[in-house]
Amino acid sequence: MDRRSFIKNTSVGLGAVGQMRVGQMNLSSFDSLYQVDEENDNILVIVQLFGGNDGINTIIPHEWPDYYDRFRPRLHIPSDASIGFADPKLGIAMHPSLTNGVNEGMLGMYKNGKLSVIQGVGYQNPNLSHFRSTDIWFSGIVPYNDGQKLPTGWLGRYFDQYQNKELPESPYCIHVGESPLLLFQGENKESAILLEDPEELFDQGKSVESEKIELGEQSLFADEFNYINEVGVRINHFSKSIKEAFDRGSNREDYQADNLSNQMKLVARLIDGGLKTKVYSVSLGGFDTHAGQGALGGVHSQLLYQMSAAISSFQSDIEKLGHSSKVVGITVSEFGRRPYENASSGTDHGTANVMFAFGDEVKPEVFGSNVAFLPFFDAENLAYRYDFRSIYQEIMRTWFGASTFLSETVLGGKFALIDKVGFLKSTQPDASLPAEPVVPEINQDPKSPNNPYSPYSVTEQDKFTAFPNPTTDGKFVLSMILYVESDVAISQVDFKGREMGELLKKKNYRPGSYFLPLELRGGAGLHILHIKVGHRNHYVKVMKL
Amino acid sequence: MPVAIKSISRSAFFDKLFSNNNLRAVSSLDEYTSPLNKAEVYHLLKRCCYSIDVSFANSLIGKTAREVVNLLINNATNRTIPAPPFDVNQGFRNPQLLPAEQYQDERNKNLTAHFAQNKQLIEWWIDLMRKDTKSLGEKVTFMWHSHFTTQYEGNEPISAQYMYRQNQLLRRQFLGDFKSFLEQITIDGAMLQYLNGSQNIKDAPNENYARELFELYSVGIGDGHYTEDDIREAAKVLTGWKATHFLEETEIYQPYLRVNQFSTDTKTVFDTEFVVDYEVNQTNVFKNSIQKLMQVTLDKKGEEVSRFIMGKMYRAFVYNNPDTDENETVKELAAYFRSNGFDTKKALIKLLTSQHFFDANNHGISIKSPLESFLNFTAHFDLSNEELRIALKDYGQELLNPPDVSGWKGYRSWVNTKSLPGFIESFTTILNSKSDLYVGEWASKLDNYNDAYGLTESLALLFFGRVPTESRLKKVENALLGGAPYYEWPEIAANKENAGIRVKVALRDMFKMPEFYLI
Repeated sequence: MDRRSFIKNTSVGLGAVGQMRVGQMNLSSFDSLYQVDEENDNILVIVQLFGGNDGINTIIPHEWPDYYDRFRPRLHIPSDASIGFADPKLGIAMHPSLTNGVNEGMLGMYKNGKLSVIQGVGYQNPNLSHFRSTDIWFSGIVPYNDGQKLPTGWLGRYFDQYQNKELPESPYCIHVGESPLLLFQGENKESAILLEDPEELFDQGKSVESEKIELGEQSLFADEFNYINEVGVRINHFSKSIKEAFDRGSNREDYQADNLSNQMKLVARLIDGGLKTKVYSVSLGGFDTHAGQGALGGVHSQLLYQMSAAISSFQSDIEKLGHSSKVVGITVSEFGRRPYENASSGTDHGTANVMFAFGDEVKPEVFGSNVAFLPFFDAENLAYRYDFRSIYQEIMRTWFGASTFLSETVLGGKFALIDKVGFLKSTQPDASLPAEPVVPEINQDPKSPNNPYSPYSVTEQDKFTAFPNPTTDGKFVLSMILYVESDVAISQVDFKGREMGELLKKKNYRPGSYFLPLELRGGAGLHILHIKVGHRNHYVKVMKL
Repeated sequence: MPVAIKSISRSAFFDKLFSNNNLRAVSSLDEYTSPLNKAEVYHLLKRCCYSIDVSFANSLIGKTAREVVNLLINNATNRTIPAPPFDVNQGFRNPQLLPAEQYQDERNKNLTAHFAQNKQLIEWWIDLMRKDTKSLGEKVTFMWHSHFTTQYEGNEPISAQYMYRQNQLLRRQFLGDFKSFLEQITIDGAMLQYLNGSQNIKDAPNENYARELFELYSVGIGDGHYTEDDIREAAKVLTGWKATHFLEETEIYQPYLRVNQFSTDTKTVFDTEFVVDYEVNQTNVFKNSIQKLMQVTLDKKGEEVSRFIMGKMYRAFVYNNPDTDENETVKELAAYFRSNGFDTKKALIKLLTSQHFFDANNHGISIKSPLESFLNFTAHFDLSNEELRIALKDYGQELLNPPDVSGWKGYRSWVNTKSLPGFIESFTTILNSKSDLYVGEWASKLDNYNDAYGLTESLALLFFGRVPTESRLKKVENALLGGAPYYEWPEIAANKENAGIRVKVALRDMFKMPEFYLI
């Protein structure tokens, strides 16, 4: 691989970075910059589970009566079929499909210290659209509103750091699939090659224009001409190193005969062949189980069966091939599914989800315990415990050896490590990172008999809680629990009692729990919300920093 | 922007340093009055038609831009559009009204019909596009389809009868009053189904359509363009409308207002109150809610709407880079659009007859969509409508089925490491399926057939975004000649079969050249 150097070491790079914004977040100045590690050979494999994997039926809260009685009366995995694997105190078990594959599948990987289970991964104000949530996961940016454009992916921006004077020997990333992913889209270039069949790519590589053509002009025509020319040059260039690696590499483990296994088998062979590609992505679709999800033996079980076989064969293969110390993988899905099953024997788009990380270098632990301990943040969806960007950040900093400055540049901010320690063995604690997301204390599940605030089980005063409080930008969410249908209006007064204006026009609400995104008016200081519910008055203090 | 530094090649770097040749078109929208030369006619036709009719193109040389654009518009309005080959008035039984054991069968029957008929409808449209070589009708219709997106294969498949009616609506509105277009698309049956308008009722307002109306169809995304309250309130303004394809209900496919599902609350959108102080009936509600909502949107957000819509028109006809929205020409065009009552016809004429449009620096700068590259090519080397439908689907541009409500990403997404070699392979396969004699005879009808260099120029005019420099064209000529000296070409050309072999070699070379994917 050609020696690649970080742009951050060049003054031009610093200047460009210093003025940039990711999303709408201002980046801190240069003082967070610290020296990056020597560049390494570590590899990341991303397994995309498209459609929204049902995390609750993947890592099962099997000692939780609600799971069987209320949430999944028809779709639960029977207790006697699920496989306990972690500390029994956690009350969790694996879906039996996760034992499929070599050496007891993903269960075996956990036992052998090769699997991390991270429960409750998500982000604030989750979007339940496949497209938008997939874009959010790919972009690594949680937008402030639905309108914010997400034009680039986090890995695209990460690999933007390399100046493309000459193409490296191997592509930075390979997506085993047909369509380009936002994940790899950088500001000006795409960091991934699309690959399905190395032989075919090699043949195609011969069919394209392989030379960089100099038009000798600066124009829109030249911009587009050069873009297309470069696509061809990249195919031609990379098809050779990919073919060489493919021919040189081999597999030493058997794989199941299905699509995901074939993709991962190819990845293992390319790694074995010495390809220097840093990121591979593979995918399995069909997780959008709105209807007919099935319990044991259903569609979802089938999908997990394929996933477990593919990942466990891959891990075993890469170990036998002697590369396992430099390969970690993660599973990614745009969202989890709702705890309550729906009326069509399926589950609807939800929020926080389970994520797996695998490889020699991951901590073989369960982070985030049992989803049963995650409250509902609204009437239907689980709160999240870990921001998905924590995982991206750790991959960049620990696994790729990137500076905090670079990861902050890519993600637009810093994030807590998973449980302050991280999921990778070599991650060092870092006191400079912000606090972990706050898991709300109140369970908003209106039907929960254990919910002390549930309007179904308690009669008491309406409840209002603002968070985050204090707020830095004036934006906050007011959680409101109403027990009686009422007209609600919210206005703001400052600490001197001056009216600052109306935050919520009078509107009728039925009993239930609500989240109202609001924004304070005026500058920093203590503000008081005057909440009028019918004839009753409530006051909530909110601090703006 | 993030760490990316645009890679600059050495020679380009020196070009930048030592010359001032950063070539950009003049921004002026003033009318281009010179008689059009051949390159200009081809430029205009490539942007207005999916395939080029050579003799029609030649007949336009020497006319003014205004004459040609008027002709292309008049030809569009004078076309007769045949009906698609299925019963466009067919209704369906509602499976939910049947006994449980018949539900699945009836539903499957309906879905099978929807899929089969939508395929027929797509092929019907492809056929119209292919035959439309003398007007800009199909390009404009497709522009609106990719703007007012509807996916027949959405969560709940939409019947071809609905999709056909929407297609007719796009043709009926075609060019003219944008406000009435917004009004009509809002109660279009396919749209009511696609964005849940039919489920938008006073007790449970569904915001899906209202959100997209602002975000994707009129105002566009932007800071301060609209608030969540505007969306919520607009959804209530739009409550009550429905269309049905179920035989058990009222007149099928005819959008109507369910009077008792219309919210009579007072709503506030863009600081304007919508008071229901009139008798609630379909006519009054259409006038006082839908028409008023569009009027208010244009009154209060006219600047945003004009920029957004003209940005789309600019990308459809001049340059499909989404970053062009902010350029001076789009701003000027938007101002013209606003001051001319949001008339899309006047705006398009303004754009297509402008000095900016005809500036040589704007020739061949747009990246071809699969639709454009396939129809451009298969106008000469035939593929069946069905094969075309499948090819477009393979390349991610199935008509009536954009990937999501925001439509096709377009621009550079069309040419990537998967699609580029795919295109080369597809076009090579199509070309190889034609006999040498066929290709030779086809070439013999082109201008300058007997001159090797002249023939390559004719090929480039047909398939390239712009005729390249002499050295680039020489490359094609060399492929055509295959080592023979240029003066022997007439001799080779005399035998159509031998000529066909050589032309195939040249074309196969052209498939690899970036110019082939530009328009």
